[in-house]
Amino acid sequence: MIECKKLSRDFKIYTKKAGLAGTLQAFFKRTYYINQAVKDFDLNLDSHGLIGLLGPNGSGKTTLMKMFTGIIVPSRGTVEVLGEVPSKRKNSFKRNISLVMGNKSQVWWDIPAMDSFLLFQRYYEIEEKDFKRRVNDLGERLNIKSLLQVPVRKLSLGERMKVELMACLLHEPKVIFLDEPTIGLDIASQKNVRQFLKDYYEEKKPLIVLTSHYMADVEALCEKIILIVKGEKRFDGSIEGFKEGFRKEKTIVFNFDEAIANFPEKWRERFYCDWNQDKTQLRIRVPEKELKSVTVEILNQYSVSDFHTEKVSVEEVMDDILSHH
Amino acid sequence: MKRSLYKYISLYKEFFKTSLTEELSFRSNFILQSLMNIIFIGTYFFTSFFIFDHIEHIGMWNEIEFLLFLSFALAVDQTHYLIFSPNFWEFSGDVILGTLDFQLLKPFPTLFTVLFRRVAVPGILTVLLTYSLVIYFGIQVELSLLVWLSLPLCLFLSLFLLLGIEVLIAMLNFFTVEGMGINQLRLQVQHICRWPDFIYKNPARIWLFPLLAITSIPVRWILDMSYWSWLVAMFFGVLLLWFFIILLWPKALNFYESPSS
Amino acid sequence: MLSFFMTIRLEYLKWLQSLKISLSKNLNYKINFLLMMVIPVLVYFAIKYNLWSSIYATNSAESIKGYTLSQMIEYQFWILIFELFVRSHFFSRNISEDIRLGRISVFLLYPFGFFNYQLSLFFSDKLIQFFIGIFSFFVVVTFGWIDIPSVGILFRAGVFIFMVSAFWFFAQLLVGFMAFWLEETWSINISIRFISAFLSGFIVPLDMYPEIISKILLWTPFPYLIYIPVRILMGESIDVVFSLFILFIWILILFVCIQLVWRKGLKLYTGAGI
Repeated sequence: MIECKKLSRDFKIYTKKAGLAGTLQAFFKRTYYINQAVKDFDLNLDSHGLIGLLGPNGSGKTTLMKMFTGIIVPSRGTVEVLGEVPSKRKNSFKRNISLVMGNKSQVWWDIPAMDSFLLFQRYYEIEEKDFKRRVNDLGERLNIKSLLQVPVRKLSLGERMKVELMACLLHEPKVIFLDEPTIGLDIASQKNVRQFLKDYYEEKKPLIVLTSHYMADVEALCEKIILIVKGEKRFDGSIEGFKEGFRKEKTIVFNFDEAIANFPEKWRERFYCDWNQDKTQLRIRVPEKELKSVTVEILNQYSVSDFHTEKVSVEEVMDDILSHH
Repeated sequence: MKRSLYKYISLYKEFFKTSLTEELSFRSNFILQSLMNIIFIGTYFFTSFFIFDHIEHIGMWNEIEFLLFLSFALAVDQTHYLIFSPNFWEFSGDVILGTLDFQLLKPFPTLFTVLFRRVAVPGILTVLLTYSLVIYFGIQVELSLLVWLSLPLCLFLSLFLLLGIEVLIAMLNFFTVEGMGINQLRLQVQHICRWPDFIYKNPARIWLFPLLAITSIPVRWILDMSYWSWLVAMFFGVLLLWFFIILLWPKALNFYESPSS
Repeated sequence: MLSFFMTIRLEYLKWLQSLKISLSKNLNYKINFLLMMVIPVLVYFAIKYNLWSSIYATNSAESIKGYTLSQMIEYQFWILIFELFVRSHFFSRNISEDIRLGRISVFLLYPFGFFNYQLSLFFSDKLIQFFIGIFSFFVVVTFGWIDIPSVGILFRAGVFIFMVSAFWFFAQLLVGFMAFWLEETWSINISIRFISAFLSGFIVPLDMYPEIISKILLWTPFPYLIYIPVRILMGESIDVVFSLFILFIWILILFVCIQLVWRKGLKLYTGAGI
């Protein structure tokens, strides 16, 4: 459904020294460098699924999405979505895709959302009957039915995001790209949007590709993760595989019967240790290779009432990856 | 064919409705913009009156003929204001802010949605005013039936020649972030074509001829039917220009970088 | 005493920095800048030059209302130069936007007032325009299209440039402040441009207007924005003191209005979007 080979995109970035002298210099001669936003990206995705596209800021996630939707043209390599080349911008292709951007808005600012929707109905040639049903259905699920008659500028950020989501789903696209759909929302709205997406996916089974800074989004929704760092693909597989592949350390939690006063220096130096206040609980991060030996040693030396390894979250894995760059 | 025409018309109807809804939510704007257009038309006419207080002719035209030219030029201008002008401003903004993304995603030719999506509703008033002026001065110089019938075609040719030139200029938006300046350049084209071609001396007249043709060729035909061949040439010129634009537009779009805020 | 000088120095530094930033901004968008400041003036000149040449040619007139063709062209050349000096950017649009989007909130907090900021923007425009004006003056003189006026006339013209610039600064500020009440102010701004171009003698010298109109106009600010200074530059003896007095009164009126509008407006100001 999405297939790309050696997909790359460059941008020219102009630079200017600070101050008036720099300005005058730039007036006559502009200097620039080439930024490779996406480098030799290969990908193959099925016709449905919930895919998380992860990466630090400026890693090329948005650029990738813009190439998938045909907004920008690749510098090199090939990409096909729904069997079409997106940059040919065929109408038949555009009718089947959708893109929501958390930081850009497509509904008209000064008029009620419903007026914008009527416009989108014409754009996508949606039958009156279907249109009414979908507006009703989506409005109810997102709980914004009563807000569709209010000028968009009067809505809260969360309500606006829901309106944007609704606008992009009216034509029931087969492929949906969501770029930071929960950015700037409070926890309750985030959960709300997340649940909505989950239900929508279960029912319609489209292909949804999603980027988010909130790992909770990814953890709750995605079946599959693609990691992009500095424009290059670093991982492509299941969430479990992602955690295992990148998490080289595991956290073990020990509960002791009594307070531990003299914990060996050699471990404190080598591993990250986190004690509770009365020194009866230790969380220790140990590389996978030494997991067994360290556990055995602690169990032998102290009286342990209980121990377990902690489940890693995607967030922690991402932290690890980011701290290495 | 019929179905696809219907598609475009019903989309345009919706464009008009959304613009109207938006426009009506700021009532003062509506009045101020109408006032602005009336002042604009007024200054052109009064300037002409004051000049003709002292002279008989401008070029080969007397006062009434010149006023007919002026009315036609302003009719083109106001029609352009009503239908296209807000779209050019919006387009520059869209390219700079990256909101053109949404136009590219819509299953309609981008050139159509970019050029037609906004309507400057307050322009209706002055469009009607300028059309009436054309008719008034047309009666004064006693136009023949054939010329009367050709007026819509003349208006159409003028409008699409102007529009074509402006689209070519607007494509520069993809190569620079200086949208304000580009729009300023468009306005200069409009200024230049509001005066008859014969006031310009060579070589300016030759170099600027495509711009001067916008209003001068149709009015030359309106006032003197022996210029019919000029009008025919203009027709093919406009056709060629738009053929070229339709080829060039997708290529220009490929330079769009979609900046994110 | 020392602290007083310190304050002055600090104020001066703030000014300098604001000035530098806005200069930077202007030059950064060099095409914008050229297209907005210079091209329109040149295009207007070209149109008027051609228009009047054509009018004199077809009417085979020696002089129209006392103007020979070469005098008319000289008149238009002087407008070209004068406009390059005083033409004000559309900066009221920025003021309106600052107000509408709530950006003036920042200036209510900064120790550098909103007026000072606007004034420094204005000075940066003027600085660039000054060089453009001087440059074009030398070009036009070198080609012999106009004669160099006497020092006395140049001095008087300089005073006019200063006063007319001040007039436009205040007028633009006032229009910008309308944004406290209106959603958009650009249509007012453009209307004022149309009216002032028409009434200041930009296209047709004002003595070609019906007498009653040109008489009434003398009590408005418009003739003093272009027609009067240009006539002075052409060597006409005109009551400079009276002209400057009228212009001064109008600037004063604008100034008072601005104070009132600013105070009333701030009370309405909701600080949208902060």
